[in-house]
Amino acid sequence: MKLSKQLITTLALTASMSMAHAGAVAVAGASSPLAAASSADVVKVFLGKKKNLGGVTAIPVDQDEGTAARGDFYTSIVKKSESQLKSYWSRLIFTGKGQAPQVVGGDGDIKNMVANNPNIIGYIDESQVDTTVKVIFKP
Amino acid sequence: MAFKHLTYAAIPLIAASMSVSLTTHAATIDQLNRQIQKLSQRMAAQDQRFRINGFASFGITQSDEEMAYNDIDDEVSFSRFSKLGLQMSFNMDAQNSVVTQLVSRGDNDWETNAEWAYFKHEFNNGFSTKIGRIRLPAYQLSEFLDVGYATPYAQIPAETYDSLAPFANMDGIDLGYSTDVGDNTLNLQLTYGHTKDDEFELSGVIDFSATFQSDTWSTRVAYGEATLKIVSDDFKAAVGLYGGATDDIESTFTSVGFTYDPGDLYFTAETTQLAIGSQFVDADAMLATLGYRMGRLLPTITFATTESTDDEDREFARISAANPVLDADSGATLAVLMGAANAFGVGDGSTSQANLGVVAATGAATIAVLPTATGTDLVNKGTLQGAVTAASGVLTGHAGLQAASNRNTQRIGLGLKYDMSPGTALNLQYDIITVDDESGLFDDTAWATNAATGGTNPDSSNILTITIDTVF
Repeated sequence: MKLSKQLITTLALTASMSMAHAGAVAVAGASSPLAAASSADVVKVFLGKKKNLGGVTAIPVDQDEGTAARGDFYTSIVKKSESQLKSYWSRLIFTGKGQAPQVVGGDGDIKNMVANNPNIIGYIDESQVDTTVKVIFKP
Repeated sequence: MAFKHLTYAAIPLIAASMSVSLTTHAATIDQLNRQIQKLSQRMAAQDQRFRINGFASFGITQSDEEMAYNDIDDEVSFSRFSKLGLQMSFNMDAQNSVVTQLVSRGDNDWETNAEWAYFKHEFNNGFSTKIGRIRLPAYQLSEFLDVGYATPYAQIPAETYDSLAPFANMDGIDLGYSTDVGDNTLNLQLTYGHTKDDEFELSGVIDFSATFQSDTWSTRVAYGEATLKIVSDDFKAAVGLYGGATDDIESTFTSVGFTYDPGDLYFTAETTQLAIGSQFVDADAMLATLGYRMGRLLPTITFATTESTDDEDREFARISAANPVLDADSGATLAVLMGAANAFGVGDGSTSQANLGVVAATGAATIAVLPTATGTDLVNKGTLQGAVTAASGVLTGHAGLQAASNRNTQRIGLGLKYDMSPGTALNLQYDIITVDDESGLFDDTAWATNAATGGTNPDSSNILTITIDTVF
């Protein structure tokens, strides 16, 4: 009985932590040479208009459509709806001018990717930030 | 009961063996995880190397007018604006790539053509170059002309976009330069090449464009020059009949475009100027579209016009050189007939349009006062009558042809784009086209025939277009 009570408390805590959705932040790997960047620069990287930050190559990666972090990142930082984004990229893709960022999954996948490649920049929910990543932009 | 005992007894045993195997499993799972990670990284790298993107539009279009305008008539068409495109990009490395776009058009019986096939190299300093079959970037929307999803239209206003439609792509080379100007971007593009279809050959095409782009707006100017040659025999004969050149025809094209797209509001405008020598139509055109996004809906209103600017030039050339045998009885040409009329004091003997008008209008009065006797007088009368008939015949035929090639057209388009899901939109468009006694993009053969035979030509066409546009 005691055990399950503890378990429930822990579960509730974890749940409340992940429920405390703090919004998306842009991240790079903890040991990446990528440094703090401005909102405008981060937006440019994700829209394919900029390929490096402070002289360091920056490769953006996206989360799957429908994740909380992606929704927040594009709505409040890039300020484009999914449809506008699709239309924007189709103009670049079909003119041979660029390709949309690769789509790699959720917060966990982004953390994995930035940890493995110092040039990758992603965004995750702020509550998921830990020692494997460093925040390079927070709104 | 026996079973229950056995089960209880078995529990510790199973638990013990489980804990052992769990430890081993944990190690295996770790290993597997690492393998998956490596694999997904490799797949990601592969994904960056080779990409396939596609676009498609399927839909219907129909007008309320029997005579086709821009190839749309009162029979519903499923193919006019339907198309499917697949773009494959193979990136050898960060700087070199090969891109090909295979497009099948309903309008062309779904035949598949490689409309683009080029090699692209990006230099480190903002320069890039493409070589192969590339898009001729004449218009503001040229580069994504076929990607319905990327435009607010179910059908792009043809008044502006039809003129260079046969020459959308060409074989050549493209040099691009892109640089940041503050928070904005400047793109310069220089394109050179040649292209041809069954009727025309366009060579020595040079096109230059400059685009200045901020976060919310962009403005673009483009200028192009090319030499046109007629390759189809039928076309050559038709143009040659009116004294027009069939080769070395100089042409120029200018486009100025502006787009404002800060979020909810959408506005775009473009004005173009086309000048082609010989008997081809020179035309000014413009379009403006205003829209406002409301969630998934984008209602738009479009205004477009085109007007031919060389009506007089084409007119003069046609008549001054109209030299076929005109009088069936005597076999006389227009020049001979006008000379004969001049001998009777009618007109100045030239084949100008003005003189034809004089002969047609005053010839009859002179015939009336000529002596009606026999012999030479009768022959004279017949000759003058021949001149009058020829003059008015040429004028009528010419007026029909002229009206069939002139343009003075307005389009008002009401559009509604509905985003069904990101990447797929339902597009409705209702266009009201009005023409001012000139065919514009109406079927010009039908128009000229109608004019010559006293039929009534339409003054408007209302067109409904519904498409589903998608990118994938």
